[in-house]
Amino acid sequence: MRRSLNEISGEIRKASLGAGFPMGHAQEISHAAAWLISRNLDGVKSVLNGLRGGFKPITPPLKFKTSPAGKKQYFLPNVHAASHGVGLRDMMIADAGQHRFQLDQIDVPLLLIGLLGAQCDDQNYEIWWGLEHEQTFSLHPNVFESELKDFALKLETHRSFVGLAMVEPSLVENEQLQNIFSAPEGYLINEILWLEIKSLAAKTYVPASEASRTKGAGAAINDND
Amino acid sequence: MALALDTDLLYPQSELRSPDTVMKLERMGSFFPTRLSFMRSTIRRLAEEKSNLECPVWEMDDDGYGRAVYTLTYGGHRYSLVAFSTRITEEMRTDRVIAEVWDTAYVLYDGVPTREEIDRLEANSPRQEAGRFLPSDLVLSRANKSVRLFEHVTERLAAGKQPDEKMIGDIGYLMRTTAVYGNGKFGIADRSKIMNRPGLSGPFQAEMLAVWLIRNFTHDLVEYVAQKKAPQTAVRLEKRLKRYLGIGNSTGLGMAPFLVNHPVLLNNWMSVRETALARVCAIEKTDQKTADRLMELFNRVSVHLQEWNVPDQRQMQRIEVLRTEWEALATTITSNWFLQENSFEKLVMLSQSQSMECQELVVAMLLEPHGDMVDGLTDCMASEYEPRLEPSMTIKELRAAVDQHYDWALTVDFSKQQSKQQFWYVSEEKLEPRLGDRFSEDGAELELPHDIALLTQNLVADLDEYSQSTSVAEFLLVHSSHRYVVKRIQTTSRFAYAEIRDNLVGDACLPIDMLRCKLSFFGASKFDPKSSRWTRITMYQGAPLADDLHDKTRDNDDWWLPVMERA
Repeated sequence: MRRSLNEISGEIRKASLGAGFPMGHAQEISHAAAWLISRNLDGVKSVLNGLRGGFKPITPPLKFKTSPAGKKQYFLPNVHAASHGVGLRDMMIADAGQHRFQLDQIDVPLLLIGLLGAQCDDQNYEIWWGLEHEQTFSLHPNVFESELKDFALKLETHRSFVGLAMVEPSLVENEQLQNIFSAPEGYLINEILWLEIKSLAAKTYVPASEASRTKGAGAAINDND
Repeated sequence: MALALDTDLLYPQSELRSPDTVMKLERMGSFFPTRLSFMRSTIRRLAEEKSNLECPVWEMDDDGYGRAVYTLTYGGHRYSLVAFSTRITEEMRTDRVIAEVWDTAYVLYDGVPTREEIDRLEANSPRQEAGRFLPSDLVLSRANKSVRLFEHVTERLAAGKQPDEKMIGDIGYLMRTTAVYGNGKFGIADRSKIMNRPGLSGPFQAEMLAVWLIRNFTHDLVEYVAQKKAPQTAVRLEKRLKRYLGIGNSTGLGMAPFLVNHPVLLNNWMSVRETALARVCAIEKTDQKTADRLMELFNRVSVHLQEWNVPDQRQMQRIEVLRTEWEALATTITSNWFLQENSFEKLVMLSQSQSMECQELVVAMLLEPHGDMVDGLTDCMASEYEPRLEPSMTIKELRAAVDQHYDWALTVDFSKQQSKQQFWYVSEEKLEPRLGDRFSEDGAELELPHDIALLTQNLVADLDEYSQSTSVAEFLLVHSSHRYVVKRIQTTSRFAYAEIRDNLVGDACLPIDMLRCKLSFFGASKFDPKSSRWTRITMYQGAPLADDLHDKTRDNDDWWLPVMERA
């Protein structure tokens, strides 16, 4: 069934809360999902995979080594994209591109790409992402869907290094941004996955009771007046 | 946006009222509609474009059940209201969100629907939340009849008579909507589809257009049923009575979280209103025409207040106080009084000793004759700004932002039970937002984060454990649960009117204040609270009819706080 982007991101935010994530993270995960879905990538499946196991925050202090130039390289082993992606992103921006992060064994690479990619759009950043022994990848608002898919596959098996390439607004022509959120026919979402999202979201609802029912709008009034 | 307004040299402005004054629930709960309200903007555009409303489909049985389509061109685009009228039993009629059937259902459609599209909407619209919709559907709504008024008007018109004016005055609408959904709900179009379209770029403009069209449908339906009932004797409803028949609305707690969840949007609405007031107050000397107009409005308010009667004791007492205060002002205020220097600022000052309702009524009245200098501000009421975290901010800077903008939050004593007596939550019952008692009801562990003051205090307690130079990013690695409120504080610090400066979970918090604030921005009047948690209102009362848009002799922008036109 086709669904609107607002409908999808709202439900994913609630599902993230239902899976035990704090509100601040749930908001970012829903943005990431919207970012992926609007690029025809499987944002819902990525989120569901990411939410499994609940919230596992990064345990500081982060280990790091310092290069002769004084730059730090932080180590983040066993990356749980949904839990760690937001903190990783915050640290990258706070460091203003000075440092980089070594990422090992990312559980849901596409979700991590979504979390970092949404930031690129929000603030027009460009994120540099290098694979061990391979070329670097640039994550920016105009990146192509096929490039993202290929890169996510490589992240499943490769150690990678990530950092902000720019902290000033880039001059990248942002045509793709203008097309986002405007799918004329909505977005097709797998019904089984959607039911899983709804089931997680339902964990945030309080069961109805007679007491609560009497406090809702319209209670205790004759509606045939 | 606030900066842009503050430095607009085209119009001088006096000092803006402080957020500590404006963003209090008691004041927000005393707001009245103004010429900046969304319905007023919709009507101004309709009138400016002289939009022509057509009804290409009217397929109703003699009792008024069936379907209809209205179309018009607005902002260069063609839109249609697709309406369905259904027979329901009395016991099924309820205004509550948990209802499953309604007298009528509506979709504002993007373009002109084909017969197949109307069939699709007929299969889904009457089911509302249980139906599925497409991006061609812009707004979804439903309305129930005011049974006694609808039947009364039908009977009278069928008998060749006009309805009882007092009854029309007391009720004010033939139907009341119980939900008006936009922005992607149930598969309808995301707001992004229309946000750049002329006429629909402002907040809730698609919804306001839909409601005006629904009002038109209710007028046509009652006349049609009367005509079918007695073709030989039936007459049409007098236009002056028709104009006074707006659309009712039942609004509950769902509106309150909206103001908390959209702080930048709230800021923009408030900033525009306050900037408009500051511009008017900066006028040193007004002219005779404006002074006369203000006296006309002043007298209209007196009549409007007499016509505003509600069963709710608290609100009725407030109205009675307001009537008394307005009468007292009448002993001072004359056309000549307005001609003295700085009279607008003086009137605002004079009202400070009166009730909040009186103070805010004065504000709304003063804006009314100054469309030329304030209407353009409505272009600043939308917001596409996405709140974002500034991870490089230091703890010192964040703490300073709290001290500067959230001092109100730090003064609440949460060691007292009553300070956190209530909690906001979403019920599993049709996902209705509700407010519970933390100490006697279940579900507080699923609380929505509307306890901003408490969240701020909890944040400050943890911030104080950190070095001043620590970055927010480092702090949040350990304290991820604070991310929401940190982002909120960082965002709202740039927008003076973004935060309601009251404890929203205290026992003194009355959600009705938030509802009235939002509804006043819609342009609603005749607030008729049914409890502290929901209210009925009237929309588009006194607003132009479709025919009026082409009447060059009418001022189609003159329907603020309407009073019934005399025969």
